Amino acid sequence: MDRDDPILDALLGEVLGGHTPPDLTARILQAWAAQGSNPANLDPRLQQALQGAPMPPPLATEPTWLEPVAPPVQPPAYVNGHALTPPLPELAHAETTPVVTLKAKREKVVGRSTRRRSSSWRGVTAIAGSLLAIGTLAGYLVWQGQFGEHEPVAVGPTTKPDSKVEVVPPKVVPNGTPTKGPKPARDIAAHEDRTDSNLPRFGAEVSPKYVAADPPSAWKDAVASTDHEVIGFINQSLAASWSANSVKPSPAATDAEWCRRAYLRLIGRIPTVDELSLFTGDKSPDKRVALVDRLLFDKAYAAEFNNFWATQWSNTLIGRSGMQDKDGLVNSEGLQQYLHAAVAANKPYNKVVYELISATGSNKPGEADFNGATNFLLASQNDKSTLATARTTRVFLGQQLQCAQCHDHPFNKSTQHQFWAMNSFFRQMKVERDRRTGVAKLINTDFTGESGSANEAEVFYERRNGQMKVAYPQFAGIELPKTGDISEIDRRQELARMIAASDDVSRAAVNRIWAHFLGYGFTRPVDDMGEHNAASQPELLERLAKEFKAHNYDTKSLLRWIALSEPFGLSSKIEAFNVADAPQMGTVPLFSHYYTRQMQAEELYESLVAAAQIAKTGGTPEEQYKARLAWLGQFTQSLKTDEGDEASTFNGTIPQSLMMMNGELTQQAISSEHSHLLKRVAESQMKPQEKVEHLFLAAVARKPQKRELDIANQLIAAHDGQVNAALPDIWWALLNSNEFILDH
Amino acid sequence: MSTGPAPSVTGFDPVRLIANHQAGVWRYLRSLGCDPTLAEDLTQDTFLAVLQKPFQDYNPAATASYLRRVAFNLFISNQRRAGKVTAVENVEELEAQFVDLAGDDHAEAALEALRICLEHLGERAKWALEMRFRDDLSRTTIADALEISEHGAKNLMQRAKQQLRTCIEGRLR
Repeated sequence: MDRDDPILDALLGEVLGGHTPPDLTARILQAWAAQGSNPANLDPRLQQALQGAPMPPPLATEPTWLEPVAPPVQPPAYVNGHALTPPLPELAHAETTPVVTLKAKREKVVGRSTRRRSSSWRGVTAIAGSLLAIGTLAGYLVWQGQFGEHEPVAVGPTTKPDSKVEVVPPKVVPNGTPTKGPKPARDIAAHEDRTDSNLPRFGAEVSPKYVAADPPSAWKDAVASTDHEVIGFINQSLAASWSANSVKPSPAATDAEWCRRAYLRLIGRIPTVDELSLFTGDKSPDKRVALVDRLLFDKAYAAEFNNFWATQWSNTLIGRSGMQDKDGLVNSEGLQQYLHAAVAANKPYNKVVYELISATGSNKPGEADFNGATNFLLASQNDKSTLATARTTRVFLGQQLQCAQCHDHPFNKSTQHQFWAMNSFFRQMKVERDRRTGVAKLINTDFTGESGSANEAEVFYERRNGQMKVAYPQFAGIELPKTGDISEIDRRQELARMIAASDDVSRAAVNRIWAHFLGYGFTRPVDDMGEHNAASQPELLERLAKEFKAHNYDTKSLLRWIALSEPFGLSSKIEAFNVADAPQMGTVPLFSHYYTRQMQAEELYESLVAAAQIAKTGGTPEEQYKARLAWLGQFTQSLKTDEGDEASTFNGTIPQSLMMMNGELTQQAISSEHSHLLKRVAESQMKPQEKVEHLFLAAVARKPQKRELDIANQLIAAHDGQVNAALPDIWWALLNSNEFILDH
Repeated sequence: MSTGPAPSVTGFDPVRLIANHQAGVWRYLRSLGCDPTLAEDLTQDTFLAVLQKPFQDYNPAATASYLRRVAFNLFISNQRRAGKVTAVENVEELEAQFVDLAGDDHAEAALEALRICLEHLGERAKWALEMRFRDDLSRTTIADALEISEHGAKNLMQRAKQQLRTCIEGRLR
């Protein structure tokens, strides 16, 4: 038939032929559920269909500073009354494998655990060990009430979800709600009232003739609230959000869960058995406050705290690959030294920002003009400093400007002019490198502009239509003089000052640190903030950012507020009344339960070392640091893009699994020769069951279930009743379990 | 202390996405030449594809455009698998016409206008179109029923559709 007017033909088919569009909602959702969440399940032709489609802005794309590994999209059991068959048996915890039946899961775990030992009896032991690993997972699921007690969530198509959700008043977190008790000892008095006029104006004392004005602030003369008030605001704000979104929060986490979580988030490792027992045995009502303060301020944890946060910083600033790049300009020890010192001194965050952007000097410790902060921009060197431009705005302002290098941003308001105006601040930068010694020096020099005149030191850029345009330094509406003469104006220093004084610095920092604790930031991704990507809880973000600034950018205060807030203290168990809070499926995070995620590579390394009590022998702290970098380096690779992207295989892949099963660190962890834990447990007078319990507490902060004990006993029986001979296998199974590697 | 924030649930809502856009996708596929059954299947496949990659549904027009592109790709793949050579002469032009006619409501207003415009059509023209689209008769059969030549039947239906198009566009303006 003719197709002279195909659109009208379709409409005529509908009106005259009765071919009306069907309601495919239930069918699509069922097919989606049946398909599972593993993108590998996606029909290749569907994958192909996505090629070339002009995709709207995605959610949660590139990994960010502290963003957890996002599990694949899990289709819900039901959505708005549309039932999906078969109903999913569990919706609880993030997994790196598709949703399958429990039997299939066991098969998968068994499939992973096919590590073989050299001799025949060890083969039996390995299989038994694998069964224990399965049993541990099963026990964990039992403990979470995932089967046998779980009521199917799926409902028939005619049943509507219960919309009468009772409003739950803000919950008082037991054993940890901060009271108006005595203030803990602090390194720096961060609770003095600070107003904008009191905040230091960086660089004003050393700059050349010109000093730019500060960008406008939404929080002029903001007065710092008490910690109690800020934490109370977090709790109330989210409680209101839960009520408005018809969800209820999960119950509070147990003491052991919370303790494990607090150690991981604050110092980057799980607690030892002694630390865990100390906390769970403490009956005082404010023990959570006491633990947080201990981890933040106690000298006993200072080294770990400083190392952890210095590493978090360096990962954000230049990436893991940046620290491992032997051919680059970065001196990783130099950067680590600077960051370590900054964290140890609890230097105000905005001051660190200022120093990183304005740094000059040599990158290597020991040099007369050594300045470790220079390594940030040295790692960001490329043609025309475009990488430095993109990284600075992304890391410190939470704005992704890199797209605007070539064209006006398609989704946010960033323009090409903005990018190049920002870029022109970095054009006085110059690197001098001594290839013989490897020392690189970052200096400032005159910039004569692309037309050769220092008085009109412009930057040219080309529009998509071929038109050439010119840009001069401009930030937040403040234009700097056009001169590039370094004696008249230090552009980078002025930019550093303006950025350090801007409100966006505070918002971006709060967003990142919130994501570090809670798994997701207020925006996704955390470094793409703006009108185009509205914050999920804008009032809360704004208040926290204001308080952070009012508290003189005291990072430890910010950590304390979040760690002692109610959402951080909730269980990771998903209940029927908050199943809608599923950010891994693309919904807005409501923080009504703790979001389970995998440990970061550094956290896993330190947790293995701490759990097994492996002696950190053989070298200075710098050598140990290098050994850790080398271990981490096997998972990260720089993509050498303009944005400094890097790829990580530390996301449930085969290299990671093999490393955990057979790697040198795991071998040390299960060896009595290297592992003080195993040695101590083996030599102790504990009964066999107590020894097994001790290993469970060390790895997963809980005692074993009966089923797990039964499997452990089978393992011991396989070793002719010699419990000490079975301990390494039990320990290996625990370290290779999902529960160990998850932050839950 | 201020009260909590107002609800601000934005982001990816699969059910809302499907409810808001499935009719438009289905009609677009029908415009490409799919029969109703194939249009259903490809509509389902379109949503299955996009649900794998949650995105921010901030602009209905942008989302609809994205969905149409995915649907088009699926349609072409389907044609290739079936060994059919399909000349979708000018996809961009078809897309532009579809957007023009369908508007923001996935052609609901256009459908209503069509129903009214059909009432103003001549009897023979209307009967010809009914035989074509309701009874799914061939042009030969239609011509026999109208006692005209096959070419005449073709012209009659073409003119009728031109009239309808003009009428619809006038009503939508």
